[in-house]
This record gives sequence, structure tokens and C-alpha cells, in this order.
Amino acid sequence: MAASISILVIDDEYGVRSGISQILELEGYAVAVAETGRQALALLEDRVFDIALIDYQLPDLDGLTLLASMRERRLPTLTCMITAYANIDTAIAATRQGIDFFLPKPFSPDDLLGVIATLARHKRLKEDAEKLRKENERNLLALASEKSQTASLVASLRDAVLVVNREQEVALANQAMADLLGRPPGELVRMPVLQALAGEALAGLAELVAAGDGEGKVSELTLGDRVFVAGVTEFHDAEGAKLGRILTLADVTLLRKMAMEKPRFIRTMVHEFRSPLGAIRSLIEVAREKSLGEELAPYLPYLERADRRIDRLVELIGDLLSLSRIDLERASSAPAVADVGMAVSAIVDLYRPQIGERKLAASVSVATGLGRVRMGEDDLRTVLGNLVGNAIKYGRPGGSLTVTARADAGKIVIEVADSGIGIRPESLPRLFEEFFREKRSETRDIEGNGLGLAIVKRTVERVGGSVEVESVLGEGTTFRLRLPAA
Amino acid sequence: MAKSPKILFVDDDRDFLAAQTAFFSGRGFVVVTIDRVEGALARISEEKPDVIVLDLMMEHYDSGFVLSRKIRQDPALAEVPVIMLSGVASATGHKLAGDVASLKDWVKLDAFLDKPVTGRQLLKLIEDKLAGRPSIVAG
Repeated sequence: MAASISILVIDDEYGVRSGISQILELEGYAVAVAETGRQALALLEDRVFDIALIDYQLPDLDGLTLLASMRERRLPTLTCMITAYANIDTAIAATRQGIDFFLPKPFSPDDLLGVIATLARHKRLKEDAEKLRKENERNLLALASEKSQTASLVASLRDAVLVVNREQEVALANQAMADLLGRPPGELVRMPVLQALAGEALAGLAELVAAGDGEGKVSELTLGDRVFVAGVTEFHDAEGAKLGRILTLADVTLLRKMAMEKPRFIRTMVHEFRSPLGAIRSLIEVAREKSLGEELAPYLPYLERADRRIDRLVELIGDLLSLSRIDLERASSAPAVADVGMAVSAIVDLYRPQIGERKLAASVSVATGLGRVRMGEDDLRTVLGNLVGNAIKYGRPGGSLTVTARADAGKIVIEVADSGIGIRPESLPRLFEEFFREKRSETRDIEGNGLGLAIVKRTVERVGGSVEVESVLGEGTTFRLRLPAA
Repeated sequence: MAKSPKILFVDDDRDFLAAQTAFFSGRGFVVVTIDRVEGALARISEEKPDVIVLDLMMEHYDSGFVLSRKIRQDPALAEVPVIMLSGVASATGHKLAGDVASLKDWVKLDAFLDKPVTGRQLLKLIEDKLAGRPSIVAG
């Protein structure tokens, strides 16, 4: 233990220096000696000593000046003044310079060793204290960063979070909760929870949070047009004592909507299958029952009708498969590109017969050098085919069909416009829903299963694009696609 | 039969109407078809059918119900049997099959059939109605 302590002895008297050195070295201390104040400073500059024994009277500097320069250099060395002129004035002066101990001459070897042992203990205590202080600092830093991490974590949660303490006051509220309650988070803190959750809509919630026995309670509430699942959990300290409750509100509006839509989708799908099957069965039954006599010829128009309905059922099945394929491929689709100009002319060419039949004036304008879009060739053709097909079906004979494509802010914008019957304003929000069809006298003879635009929307949204519609009833409709440029 | 009974079909599926016309005409009925709700009540009053077959799902999901209510509220038509057809009954959220009794009460329906229905099923039901026989309602 002694060996780990290094001591510098500063004294101009050889006898004193070597005497002290011998005593200390015998005890196992590492000792260095200096004859003058400057020598001492040079040594102190060089290495760190645990203890310095300083003679008050040195030839070049006095002990106090040496002490002052040691202090200036912020050395960790503990100091002990050796002096024959021990009096109260030097003691005060030395203490002001931060002397740690005082050893008056003459002293015995035991006196010296006692002082050194005290200083060594002092040094260890000082080191321990320093270690503790550093550790504490680290812990505080860690704690602060953990706290700020937790705070930013809670703040950025999409779920609304409210922490309530034992005094039934708000201890923490994140931004999502503040938005819901219509107050800034800072205003909520320390507010009584019943006040923070005041109002009829939140009454159930306030009760849930205030109820003393709630562990993991969950309930549902509707705020405006949104549906939330509210959960209350108690939280405890390490010893298990209750600290308060945490209220979380998860917005389940979309999930709820999806769950609600599924039965409706299935109901509509059942209808879309049963109606044509009913018609087909009835058409065939006319022949089976020989309702029109023994000749075959009168039955042919009925069988042809049945055949057409079967075609449409096959189309419906294809479209339903397309819809489910879009969802399935969402995650796995490989990046693909398609040339817009080529796809547009291919689709318009494909519909050339129908365009001619309806005597539509078709015009196509693709900006020169318009590159490609980041979506599959087949997908782009499906989308364009649906839009051009609709423009023809819902266009007026002799009207116009215009397809334009241009670049706009990193996107490629494709517009398909017709001068047809248009869409009722109230139908526009539902236009891209599965199976939605406008039932009007103008549309009743137009065939369609109401899935085309749903397929368009899902296909373009899957690649990060969008579709929008503008329509004036009786004047025409324009569909606008915004697709990511490749 | 002194005179051919008249069946009036209201349905927006023209193939279905064409088939019913052929089937029931071949069996000696007079068949009248209406393919839209608009103006249907006036046509029905005019035609004075012996039995009415209505599709539930016309322009709106409840068009058939609304029309049958109106038929029942019309004194001249109140006694005419009404058979309701639907493409969306038993397997769906409408739960019509389970609620036929209360629903029939509300719209005073005489019978309710799920599509696809055969002409023979319909014929049996119509003959029962015309003879004033109680019939089993398919669900």
C-alpha cells in the first residue's frame, strides 16, 4: 500500500532530505527529493506526486510561493509544510494557500510517518470521492438522457398518452393527447385529471382513469368522426408501490372502417353473383321448359343473352382477382418501369373499334421526351384501359376523347377526358369504391361491375401515385393520374 | 280459368324479365314487365295485375321495400299478392331470412324468395297465391 504512494521531499538541508527519504523508503514509499523550489517545480511538472513535504525556508522561493504555484497548476498533490518557525501566522498563510498538513520541526520518525499515513488516507478518500463524483455525474447524464429519450419517445407516439399521478393530476401528456383534449401539453401538466378530461364526450374516460381498481381496463369511445380504444394501466415503482395510471388512446377509425366495409363488400359481391346467375338460370329454363315450342331457333336469343351474362361473370371474377392481386403484390413487387407514350398509344389503338363505333373524336398528346413511369407495363395498361374504356362508355356519340401526358414536378401526369354524361357531384366521393356505380337513366344500359375505378385507384396508389377526378354533370369528366417518374 | 291471370314483374335485370316473360307466357299467363322504379306505381295501378313479383335490389337497396309499401297503401292494390325476390338475402347482412315474419309484416309481403330462383319455384308460388292457398316461404 505504501508503495503506491509517491512523495516529493523539498528541503535545502541535505541532512533533513536524506533523513526523511531514508525513513520513508524503509516504509516502502517511493521518494524523490528536491533541493530548491525550482527543482521541485520541475519535478512536479514531470510527474504526479501524491504528497509533497515542503520546507518553509527554501533558498530560491519560500514555501508559500511554491504552494501558490502548485495551486495555480491545479496539482492533485497533497502538501505538508515542514518548518521550524511554526507559529500561527505561517500556519494561517499556508492554510490560505491550501496546505493540507503542518509538520513542525523537530519531529520524530513516528511523527513523520503518522503525518504521511494521514495524508495517504486523505488522498485515498479524495480519490474515492472523486470517483464517486464522476460516477454520479455519469449516472445523472444517463438519467437525463434517458428521461429526454423517454419524453421524446412518448411525445412522438401516435397513440395519445396521459400519465396521471397518485394525486389524480396530469403528470405527462404527449402531443397526440394534447391535440385531442385541445390544450397544449404544458397546460395539462399538474391539472386535475377530471378537469383535463372534462366534457361529456370524455366522461367515460375520466371515470375509467379515476376508478381506483383499474388494471388494464379497455373501453371504446367516439370523438367526433374518430373511434378510439382507450386503455388504462397502473404503473408502479421498483418496490411495487402505485405511482399512478397511464391512459392511452389508440385511433382505430381506419381499422373499424375496414371491418365495417368487409361485410358490405361481401354482401355486394354476393348480389353481383346472384343476379346474373338468376338471369342465366331463367334464360336457360325457357329452353328447358320448351316455353317457346319445339323449334330451336326462338331459343337462340335467350341462350345468347345467357352467354353474355356468363362473359360478364368471367370479367367480374377477373376483376376481383385483380383487386386481390394488388393487395398481395404490395409487399413483393419488384421495381418496374413503363413507357407512357407507348402504353397510351397501345390502349387507344386497342379501343379504336369502339371509338369508331361511337364516332368519338380521339386525340392523344404526349409531351416529347416524356420518359417512363415507375410501375409495371401491365399495371399501366390496366389503369389506362379502364379510364379510356370508361371515357368511351360514358362519352356521348360524336363527342371527344382526349388523352394527354406531361411531366410535372417529378411526376408524370396523365389525363383522360371525355365530353360525356358526367358524374353527379354527390357520387364523386364514392366513385373509387368497389362496386359503386351511379344508377341513373343514362347509365342503366351501360355495362360495368363497378370495380374498374377501384382497381385504378389501388394500382396507382400501390406505386406511390394518385388518381383524381373532375366532372361536370352533363358536360364531361376528366380523370388525372399522377405517377412517379422513373 | 275464365281469363288468363296477369303477372307483373318489377326488376331492373332485363334478361331476367325476358326469360320470365317467355316462361310464363308459355304457360298461359299474361306477363307485364317494368324495369325501373320510376313511374312503376302508376303502371301497376294501370295494369291491375293478379300478382306482383318485385326485385328488392332496384336502384337502391330498399327500392323494392319502398315500392311494396306503396302498393300496400294503395287501396286498389292492397289485396294483390306481392312476392319479393332478392339477390342479397339469407347469406348477407340483411338477415332477411331470419326476420321474414317481421319484415313481411312491415311491408305486408306475401312471400320472399332468394335469387337465383327457378321459374318452376315461382310458378308454384304464384299458383298457390292465386288459389288463395297458404304457401311455404322460401328463405
